[in-house]
Amino acid sequence: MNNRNIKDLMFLIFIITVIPFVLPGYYLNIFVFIGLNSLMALGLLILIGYTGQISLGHAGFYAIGAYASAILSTAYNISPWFSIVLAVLITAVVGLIVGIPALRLSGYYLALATLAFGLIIFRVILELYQLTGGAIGLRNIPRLTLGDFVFKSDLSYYILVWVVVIIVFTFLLKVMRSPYGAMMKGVHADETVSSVSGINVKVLKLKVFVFSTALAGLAGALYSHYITYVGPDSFTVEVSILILLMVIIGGSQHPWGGIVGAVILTIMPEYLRAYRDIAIGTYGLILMLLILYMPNGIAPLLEKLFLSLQRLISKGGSITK
Amino acid sequence: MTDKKSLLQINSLTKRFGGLTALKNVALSVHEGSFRSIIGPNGAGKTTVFNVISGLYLPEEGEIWFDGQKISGTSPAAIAKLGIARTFQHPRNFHDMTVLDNILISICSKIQYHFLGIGLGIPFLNKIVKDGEEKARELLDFVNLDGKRFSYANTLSYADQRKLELARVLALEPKPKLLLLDEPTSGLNEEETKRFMELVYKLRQDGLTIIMIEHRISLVLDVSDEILVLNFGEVLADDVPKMVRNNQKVIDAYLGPQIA
Amino acid sequence: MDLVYLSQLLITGITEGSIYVLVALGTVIIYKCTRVVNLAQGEFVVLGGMLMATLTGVGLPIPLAFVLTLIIVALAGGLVAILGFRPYLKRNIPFGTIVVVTIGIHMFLKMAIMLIWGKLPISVPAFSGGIILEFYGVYINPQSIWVIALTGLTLVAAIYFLEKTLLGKAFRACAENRFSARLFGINDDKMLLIALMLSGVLGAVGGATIAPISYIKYDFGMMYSVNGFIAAVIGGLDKPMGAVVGGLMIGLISSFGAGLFGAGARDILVLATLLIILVLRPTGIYAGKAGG
Repeated sequence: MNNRNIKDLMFLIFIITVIPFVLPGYYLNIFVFIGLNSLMALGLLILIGYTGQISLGHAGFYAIGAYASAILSTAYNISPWFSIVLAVLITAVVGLIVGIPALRLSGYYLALATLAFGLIIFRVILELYQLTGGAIGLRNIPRLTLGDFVFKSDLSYYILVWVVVIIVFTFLLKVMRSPYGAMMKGVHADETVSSVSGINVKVLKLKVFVFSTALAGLAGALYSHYITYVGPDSFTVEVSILILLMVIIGGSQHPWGGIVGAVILTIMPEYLRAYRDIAIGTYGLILMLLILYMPNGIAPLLEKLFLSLQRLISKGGSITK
Repeated sequence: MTDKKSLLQINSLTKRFGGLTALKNVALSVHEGSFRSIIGPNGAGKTTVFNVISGLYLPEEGEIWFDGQKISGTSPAAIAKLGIARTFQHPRNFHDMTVLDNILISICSKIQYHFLGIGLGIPFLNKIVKDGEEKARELLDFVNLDGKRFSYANTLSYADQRKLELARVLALEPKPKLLLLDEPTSGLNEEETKRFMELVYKLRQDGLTIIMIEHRISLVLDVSDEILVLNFGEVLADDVPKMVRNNQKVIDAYLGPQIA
Repeated sequence: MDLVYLSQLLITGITEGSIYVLVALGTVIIYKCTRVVNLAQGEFVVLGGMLMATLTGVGLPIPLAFVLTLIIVALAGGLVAILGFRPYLKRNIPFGTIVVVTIGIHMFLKMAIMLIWGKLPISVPAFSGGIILEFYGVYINPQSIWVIALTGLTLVAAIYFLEKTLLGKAFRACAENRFSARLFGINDDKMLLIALMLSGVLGAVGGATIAPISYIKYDFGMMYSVNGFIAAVIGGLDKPMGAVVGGLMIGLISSFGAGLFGAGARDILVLATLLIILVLRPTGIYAGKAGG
């Protein structure tokens, strides 16, 4: 693994380790959600920022992962760990089925098609109430256990989710910073040149699409065993748009874009909630301003900040020597 | 000439775009190791021939055989993997990427099937990348761009972009057997043209089969083994340079009467 | 299959469809001019309804209220153009990202509307009295006729503007090719203003006319925007006639879907139609001019 990847990972592990000691316990709940959102945002990041596709329906895959894991572990009595794995596989299969026809679409058409998919899943959840509990949802989803230990507390789930995020992030960092990452961007930049360079454009795009849906499914499955309840309101089109915003605000071209976006756009609505009536307008304004002054997202600027801090510190060190 | 192996064989190629017939009954035979040129006035269909060979267009009629295999109707990526590399009339690179990344995409194209493997850090894939990086630098050295390997392609001069494109197509994995150059020196001044053609001659000496579309007849008249002349999508002549130069039809249509 | 019932559904469908036509047309106009899909389009509809309610509420006669509503929403459109579109277009921010900006605009407008008019649905008097007409057993609310008629008139006016007037023709040139238009001295900013103001007016006509028969709340904007977007895409995102076809289609499918199969089916039918069209003909149903 190259230096940059190691540095990035060390940084993330450091922050994640420090947070539970620095912040009061009730914040851990938000950070669990930041972790889940990061998983989805990372999937969208390579989809949008690298291969240049788009999805406005990722809440649909989030839902499939959540409901699949919930149903398998309740109605079919499958062990929660295993049902998570199955749920991810099921989501990936659906991702494949959606992804193949989606290959011929791009831009607004693809956006609408995926939006339609998300809305259809929402409808299906409501209509198939025998299976999904309809508007009421499913309760008493079993928690994850490891021997005698039950993953019930916020702290335990925080650790679980962020271990998963770190693993996925490690994986994606390697992919993004390898020639595969260049291929992904190349396929978006110039399909023709990519083809005559021997790259099978359709297969590559499809793989990335399916992977991003699998990540959303994973997030959903983890979610269901955390809250132990799933209901359709957590999987609306607003959620799809929120994840998209995370990628755009975080920085769609930057490896950290997903996580940075997830942090900002999970915390911000919580914080704004206190302002009630003017919350949504303020939210909209903040979005507009962020895009206006930081169109490439916040992550690139944060990186520059850190690098200059680093330089400052190392310079300072050599002076005092 | 007939006992040498025919690397590329085009038979009765016809390509239509709606009502327009861009190519009509074009035939071309290219022997391994030879240097072929395609000349003709603008709109004669020269680039269309390349587009059909490289799989970007589907011919209405006719067949293309390469290295004993029928390639007409195959996808561009598959054709590239069989060993056909092509450049474009205006240098087409990945403009928002570094020179090095441009090359790596071609050289490491094998890893496109190993999304999971790359992420997991499987050693044999890491080796492919490492080897690829070495080969990339050799290639960049060949075209004299190694010093600029971290520059972004869109910051390069026009001549450098042409050289990058050449290196990029040579980076094809597996190594290309046939190189299609589409007016590679247009937009270059005399000095740049000279240096570019030196690279092309070196490639030829190394045994690469080359087909070059060119506007400047003087460039190809001396070096080509055979010249194909196209006009309005049809073959006007297909012969050694000396014969082509004296071919009345070619002179009337294209060369002009004063070349004697 | 009761003919009367079907006719009822037909009229409801065309009425509802008219609003989608107006929103879709507005979306297409802005798209052609900026390549951005405006997801705040629906807010113009809501504004139209809200303003009508207030202006008639203070005693203004309906025709005057209507015209004033259109003028105010046109101004609002202008503001959106200057504050919400121009800064981003000038910085060459990618279109997809500007669509996200329009989501921000939608949020802001939604809040503004909520603060001004509250969360409850508004009431607007019918234009020509509340007596429902009857025609061979089919009940027609005269307001529906107003919706359809005014939509039609607005479309005719819009087409006249775009085809016959100098300004309109200049606008079309700009929409076709911004760069060349600039070379000809056509002012980019002016075109943007026209696009947004025109789209605003279109939306407002919809909102103002449908308010008496359909209840409009502060948060209905996104629903109209999305349906208008779908209608525009079905018709081919850059074809004004396509927007008309698409809007009517959505209205009819919505109406017949709900009427024949229940409310749950309505969404699925519209979405399924969209998906089928996208998969079969990504550039939209209405082929129109080749290469258009």
